[in-house]
Amino acid sequence: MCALLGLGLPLARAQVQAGPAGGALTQAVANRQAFTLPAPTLSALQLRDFAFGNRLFNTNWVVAPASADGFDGLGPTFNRNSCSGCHLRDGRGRPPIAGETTLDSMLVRMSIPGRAAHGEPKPVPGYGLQLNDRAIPGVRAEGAVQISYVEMPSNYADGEPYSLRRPQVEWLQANFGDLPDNLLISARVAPMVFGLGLLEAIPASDLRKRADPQDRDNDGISGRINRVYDVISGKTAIGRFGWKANVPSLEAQVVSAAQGDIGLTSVPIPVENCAPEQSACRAALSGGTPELDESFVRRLTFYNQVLAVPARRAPSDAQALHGEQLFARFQCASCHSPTQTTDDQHPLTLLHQQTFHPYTDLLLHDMGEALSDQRPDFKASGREWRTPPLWGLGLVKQVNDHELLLHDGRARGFAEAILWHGGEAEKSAEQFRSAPKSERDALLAFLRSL
Amino acid sequence: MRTSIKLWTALGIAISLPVAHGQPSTPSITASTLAFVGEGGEGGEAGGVLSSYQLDPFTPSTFKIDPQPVILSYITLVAKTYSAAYLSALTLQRAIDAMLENPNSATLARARRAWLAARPAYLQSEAFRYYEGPIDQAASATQQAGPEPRLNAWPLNEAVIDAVRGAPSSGLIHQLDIPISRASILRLDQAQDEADVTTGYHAIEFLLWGQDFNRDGPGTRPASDFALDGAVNSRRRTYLFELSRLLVDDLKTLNDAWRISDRQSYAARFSTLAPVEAIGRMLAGLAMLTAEELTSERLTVALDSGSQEDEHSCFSDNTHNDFKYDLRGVRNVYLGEYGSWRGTGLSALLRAHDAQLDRELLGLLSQAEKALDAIPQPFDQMLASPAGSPQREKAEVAVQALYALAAGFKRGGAALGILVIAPGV
Repeated sequence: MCALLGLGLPLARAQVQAGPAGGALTQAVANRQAFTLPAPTLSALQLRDFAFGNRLFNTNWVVAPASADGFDGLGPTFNRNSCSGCHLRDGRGRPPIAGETTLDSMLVRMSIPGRAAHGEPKPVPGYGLQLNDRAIPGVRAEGAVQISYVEMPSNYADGEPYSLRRPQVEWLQANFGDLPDNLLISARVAPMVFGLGLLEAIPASDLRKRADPQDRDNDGISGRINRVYDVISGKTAIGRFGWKANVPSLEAQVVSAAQGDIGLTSVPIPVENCAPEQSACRAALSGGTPELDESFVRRLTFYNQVLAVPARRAPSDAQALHGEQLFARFQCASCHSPTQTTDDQHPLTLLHQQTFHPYTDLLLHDMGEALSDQRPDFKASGREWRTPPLWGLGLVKQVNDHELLLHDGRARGFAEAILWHGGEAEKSAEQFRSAPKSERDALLAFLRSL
Repeated sequence: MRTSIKLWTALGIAISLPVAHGQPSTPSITASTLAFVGEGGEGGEAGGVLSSYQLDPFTPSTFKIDPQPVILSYITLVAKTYSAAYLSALTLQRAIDAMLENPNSATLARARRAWLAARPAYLQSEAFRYYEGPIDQAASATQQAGPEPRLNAWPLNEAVIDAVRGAPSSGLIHQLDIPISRASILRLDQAQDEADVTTGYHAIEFLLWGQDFNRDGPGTRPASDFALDGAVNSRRRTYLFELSRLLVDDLKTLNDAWRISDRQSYAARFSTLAPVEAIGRMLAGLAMLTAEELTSERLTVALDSGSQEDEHSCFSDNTHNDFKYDLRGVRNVYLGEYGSWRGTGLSALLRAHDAQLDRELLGLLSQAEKALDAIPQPFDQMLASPAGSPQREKAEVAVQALYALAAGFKRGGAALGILVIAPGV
């Protein structure tokens, strides 16, 4: 996958983004609504479905039974009562900041070592695979955590100081029995959700081509495909979505998050998210069978497939262009692949034949011990994370009023996010750390322009 | 045959892309052949903030009549609209002050009437959205959003503001430890959830009417909620007072931005745009408001959910007027008029290029108006009726008429050499 990089500087030019970030699914809006817009190529009928999908995404689900017929069935245990609660304005979640005591747009995955029936992590007895820190009246939430940080001061090569903060998750409450000694946890923020249809439509053959699990090209970068259980087909499939690429499709993502995060059952996942030990949870009233009917799932999936990608700002800015070349020179682009294309196989024709710039290869990479969550997820090891897309990252501050990056929001801005990179990306991070300030600033200007 | 067209944005990006010539209504955008070709559009406008405006001809459009009167008429009608919105908001503020001074059913009724009277002008101004004009994009160098989300955001989770049925102490008004001020209200605005709307017309509407539990009428909040005694009442009074000021201030900003006599204003800059840019923005606003906001977000979502939560003015039962005056705003721009004032509209420009198409568009416009008028009121009763009911069928007819109108604006643009790229058209 990385053979091209041996060519040196001319390649840096070839890697410069040429064309709109999301192909024909680009919207040139840079305000607070930048992530919320429909692809401009929708038909009237599709726009109607998109608008209803948006409504569903923003729906605050209520406890069943309720007068809001069709929109009840929250919980019994849950994380937030709406999709947009975590993915606010289709944007990015964050850990609590000063004064906040609850996880409002992130969650904690949990498991014990080993694999369950479909190769997925093994649920924690009494709890399951995810801490549901909220519950409907009459049902106990599973528990509560708080996150604290340890500062780790260091310097750039030129002496300028910086500090990284290492998060520590502490349990405040565990309401269904003692947590096992071999408990594995992973705190994760909600990712942005635009442009996902394009990622879904990247041909599997392209992912396989880029993958290099044995590092045959000796560039120090592997790139592995996660193979995961698909709740829709019941088979093993290529993982594309989630911080560990543990979900194969947007439909699977919708029904999994609906059940795991909000407590809504669907045809593919007809059971509530209640561990066998949680009797009140199991006895609570249902909001229907299923709570999220097939037409809702279809439109929520469609919504996530066609949310437009925000256009890049100031692409002709000299500093950002310089940064874009450095991005290639530092080999950031080896994993954060600037350009992807789709073929004509996806069921949605408006996703066909697009060239776009997500800055991801959708593959798993070893990111080193400092970023490891020690928690395997299907084929992904604790140290491995899926390359997250970088498009729109420069607008997170505008849309979500923060700039907390990486899977658990530990990085306060782009520079810290880069400096955390280890494992296969350690050389790239070191090049950034040792680069002169003008180059570091240029790279950050490039990222802010995305 | 494929021809190259340019797609301009306000950030200084011009993108050239091939489209199948002669099929402007279904542009085939092949992104793989897209390439930035350098400076274009109006680089640097709005402090370098990108525009949502996405249209341009593949060859410089040659208008058959002078487009300047159309552009100047537009600036005039926008200014008149925002001026009316501002002045009617001032009247609302005075009525609210009078009610707060002497809260009783008569003063509350007058405040409600003032709110209803303040809506038409603002709704007509919604045709000036969607091209990063002052309503969507502040003119400062920083990437700050315009005041739209503060003015007319909805749906609104009213429990963030005040008590609701079943939650008698919810909302900022009952959080006695947080002083109520413009700053504390804005801090909560859409901070945790898009529906956590704390400001604007609909928040004021909720405070004046309260929740609507009546099948045959709007909400019935008692004037005693604003009585001069009690900590909670006092906070509710302050809340309403602050909202009315914020509304007026934001509308004054818009009013000022469209005063062409001020050479620094957005209106002055708009008047010097390349005509095709200005005309493109006008058309983009019409297509977007009609297809996306009015038809999809406000009409079909409510039809598809059947929920009163999706009714635009659900507390006051004024939703039918929201639709009516949004579409009036569309008419204003197409014909170049506001109230009794008459200028030169897009219609005249299009007539010079394709008289038949202009007639068609005028027909689509009146069909849409008639179809909206025919939706039975109150809107929430229609929503509560079962699928396939005659009331709902009427609403579906309106949906089709509105989508047809939006698509018509795209065809109108094509006849002028302008590619309107908007979802749903």
